[in-house]
Amino acid sequence: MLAVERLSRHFGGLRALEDVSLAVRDGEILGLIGPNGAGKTTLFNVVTGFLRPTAGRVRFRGEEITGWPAERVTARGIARTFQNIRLFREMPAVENVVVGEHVRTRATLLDALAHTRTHRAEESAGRERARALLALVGLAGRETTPAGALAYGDQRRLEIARALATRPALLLLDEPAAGMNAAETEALMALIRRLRDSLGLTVLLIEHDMRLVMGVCDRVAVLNFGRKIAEGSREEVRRDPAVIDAYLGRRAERRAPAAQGAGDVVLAVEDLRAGYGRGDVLHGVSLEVRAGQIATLIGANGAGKSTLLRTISGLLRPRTGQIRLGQVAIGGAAPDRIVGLGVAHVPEGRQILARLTVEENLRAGAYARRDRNIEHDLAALGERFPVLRERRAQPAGTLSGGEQQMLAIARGLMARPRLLMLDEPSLGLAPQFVDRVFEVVLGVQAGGVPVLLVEQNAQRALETAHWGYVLESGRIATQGAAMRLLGDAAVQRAYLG
Amino acid sequence: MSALAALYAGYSSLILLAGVAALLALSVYVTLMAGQLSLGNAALAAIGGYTAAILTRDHHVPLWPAVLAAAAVATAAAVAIGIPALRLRGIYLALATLAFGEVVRAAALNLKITGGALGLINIPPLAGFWQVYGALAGAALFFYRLERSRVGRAFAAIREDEAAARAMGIKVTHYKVLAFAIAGGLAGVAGALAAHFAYVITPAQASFTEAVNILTFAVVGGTSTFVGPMAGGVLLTVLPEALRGLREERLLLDGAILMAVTIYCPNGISDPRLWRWRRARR
Amino acid sequence: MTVFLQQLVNGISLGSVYALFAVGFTLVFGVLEIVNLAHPAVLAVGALVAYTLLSTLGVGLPLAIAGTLLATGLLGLALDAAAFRPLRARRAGPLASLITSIGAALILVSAAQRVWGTEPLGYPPGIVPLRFFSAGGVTISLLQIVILGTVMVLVVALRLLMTRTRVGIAIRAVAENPETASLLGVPFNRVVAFTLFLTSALGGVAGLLVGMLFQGSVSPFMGDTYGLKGLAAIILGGMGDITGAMLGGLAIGVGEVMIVQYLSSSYRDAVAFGLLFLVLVIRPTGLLGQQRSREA
Repeated sequence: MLAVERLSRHFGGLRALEDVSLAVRDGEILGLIGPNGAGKTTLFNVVTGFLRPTAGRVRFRGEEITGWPAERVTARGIARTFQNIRLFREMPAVENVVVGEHVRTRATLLDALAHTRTHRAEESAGRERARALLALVGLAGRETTPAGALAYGDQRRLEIARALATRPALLLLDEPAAGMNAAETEALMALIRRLRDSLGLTVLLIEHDMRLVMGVCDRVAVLNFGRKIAEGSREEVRRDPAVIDAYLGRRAERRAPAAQGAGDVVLAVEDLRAGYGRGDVLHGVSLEVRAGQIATLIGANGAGKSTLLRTISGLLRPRTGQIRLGQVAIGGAAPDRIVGLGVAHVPEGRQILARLTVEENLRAGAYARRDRNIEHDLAALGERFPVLRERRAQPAGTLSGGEQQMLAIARGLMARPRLLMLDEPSLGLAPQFVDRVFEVVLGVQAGGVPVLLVEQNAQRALETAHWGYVLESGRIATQGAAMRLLGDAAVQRAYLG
Repeated sequence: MSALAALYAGYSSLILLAGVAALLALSVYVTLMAGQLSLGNAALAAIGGYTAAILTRDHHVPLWPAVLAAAAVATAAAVAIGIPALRLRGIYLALATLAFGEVVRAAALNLKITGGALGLINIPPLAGFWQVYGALAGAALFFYRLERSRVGRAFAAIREDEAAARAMGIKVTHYKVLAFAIAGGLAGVAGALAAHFAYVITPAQASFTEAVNILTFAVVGGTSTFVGPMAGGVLLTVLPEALRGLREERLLLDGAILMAVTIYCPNGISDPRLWRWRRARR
Repeated sequence: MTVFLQQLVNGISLGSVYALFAVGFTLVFGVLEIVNLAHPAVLAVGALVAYTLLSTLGVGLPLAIAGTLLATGLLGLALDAAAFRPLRARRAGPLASLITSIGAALILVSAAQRVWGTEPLGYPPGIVPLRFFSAGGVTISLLQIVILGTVMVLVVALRLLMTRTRVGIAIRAVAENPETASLLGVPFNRVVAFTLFLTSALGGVAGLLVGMLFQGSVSPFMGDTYGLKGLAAIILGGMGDITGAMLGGLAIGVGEVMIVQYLSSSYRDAVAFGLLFLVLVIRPTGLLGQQRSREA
């Protein structure tokens, strides 16, 4: 049905997809998995016409569709859903689905103005079909609710109904189970099976939820760093050492972390609930970071790790629960206040200020400080990170990924924080920079600043930290001494199902 | 009945202006329906006005053919800006349409055929209540049908999320240009009719200030349905006049109304949520 | 050739005023992503306040500049508090800010009318002595020198503020990425308020300079044409880019003078805006602008 041949997509120096070849057979359900940033959504975007490939071809039902615009691809019979739901939020649910009918109907503006039979017939038939599709995905009765007001899981299902309205032969689902609880995921699995069995659809899906992938897919393909590293049956892939490495990280030389720190509690989170929109992403999370400690929070994508950090640093308001820094309650406070109290958050993707120079970025890190030692700290960090001192007058955007990560961490340290929180610092970095990052984390802790490290690279994170928390679907599933968790099957299960 | 006639006689130009304002507001609304902000509609209306005026005044063409010709020319102009502007978004598109408007105004100021700075005068007074409100009624019916059609849905989809609309197979560029074309037609009609009860048309009518005025009609009125811009156009034309006793304060009131409505009724005064609340209260 | 150079000099001194005005426009856009259409009204108020200072109170030029800076700066704070901040609290879109800024402009203009009347006013003659300097057939007046000098001082001061001070880095951080700036402890609302203070102060002084350049042109309505030219300048230079705005302003000033000299004065606007349309369509980020990291 779909053949992807040696597909590459580069963004400047970034090789989002590199020489990927994949075939989706008629009537199968193929799962596409891989760590964050592996290129899965990029693949979807190229296949569905949102991006043009740098090299390679895409063939659909024997026809070459490489480089076709999205509208044309949909008209040919490929439909998709989006990773960050893209519904028409103000429209009622049924209206969203009717929009999907657009490509299969013909009524023109003149038809509508003259209220011709074509117009009336298509309108009523369209609405009938839309209602039937809503019922199929389990949303009967919610037709008039504005899409933006639906619960998160319902929104995902609505997106599927809308895609189905275009009457595709191939359906691409991008993280359809994200944000769903166990019961909803079961229902989704049944729906996907029904789509294939009753409606004869072929399905290609991206997912992080291994339960779903292993439960519903006939075959699985794995991407990492833009390349396909495995393809085969569920069991084959699950046992493939390359896949396990990709998710959990390869074992490097064991470095003993600095002496066990068990000082006073610097950060305490109790029973925290938070989320975006209507649902909760965090369902009652509790954890602690102590002085002298590196605590790491690991878990699959979508588990809520970034959400937790954002709630602690004040970018997101908690719904219930407590957050305490030392003795001071900081839950719900404004970010600049929390930073002023000593929490430094190095966000996911580094987020350096690209057009400011390296030195200006560092000074910006010291914004919350009023003391006279800023120059001294700048010099000290220059010593510690020589590359930053060399490049101090250059715009930060010209630095490489690894250098930017160093800058982001140094910037965090400029605040002389009481706690440093790092969100996936090794993401997207070349292996030698990954090593460097974890060395730096050790250095930070040795210098007296406790660290809360959120990582997808569970292996390295657990090798570096003292204490580990495993977050699964917004709850702490396991915690314990990092050494102990290293061998724990529960960790592997959290990632690979 | 004679009381109504008397009312009309006294306020006829205001009533006609309000009708034209509603038409102009609808022309901005249609591009907003497709997620595009156009600040060139005053210029499009001026193009329509000049075209029709030249035809009726100098070539003795009857009103409606002249209006149709005006609409056609304005539509062509709108498509001419719509196509290159397709790749622009948001404020950049607005500024491009603004630049277009200024080009038109400057042209009107300088070309002989448009009468230079004084504009065209002695335009035959062929348009009255029935012409203006007839056109408005036609436009209202047009929008009523449009909002409930496949095309209207396509506009709304594009406005909400262009990428998702493309994923649904909607030919986005095609519909964006269509929206501009309709806007041009409406503005052209409005401008043509206005020229025929105001007796004059001047380049000032194509100015930035006018374009911004029209935008405020739509925004204050509310953009969830076509009734909003119509209401906004009428309200913002009539209200300042009704408060004319406070002549000196008129600008101040205009400004205060604009600020208050935008801050407190961000979806405009026709926001269905506002009215639903009021009905529930009773 | 001398004619060209002469017009170049004239164009640069005119353009420098446009540049000062455009910088204010672009800074607000960079930080808030909104087009502040009250800025032209602030220019007018600045010119009028300067009138009061120079004419009614008879103070000297330096004090008048300082007074105008302060007065319009405070006006900017009021503008942010009344027009923009309530919208931020409601998370309204950029269109709403555009409209409230228009409303605020109307209020400002009408208030200015109450205070200063509708007739155009002129600054007292002789604030700057009437002297001319010539070299090689090109003449420059002391007035033009003073204007250029004032603009340069203000622009250099702005640059120092932006690069060397804590608040300047905070403003740039917010313009680059507001969320990251929050994570660094930057208080968003206060930084925005200060930005409005700064930009309105500059806009006000631009008004004063216009009043000096064009005798008898000071009135509550003088802002309109500058609004358009300011927009043109920032489109040319790239929205959000300060250097771009300055170069854009200079380009518009020089361009205006040159078109009048070499083409016809009546087609000046048509040519200018036609070019602008082309710039937008071909390179929306302006001749100097770059893709903003926020948009990625």
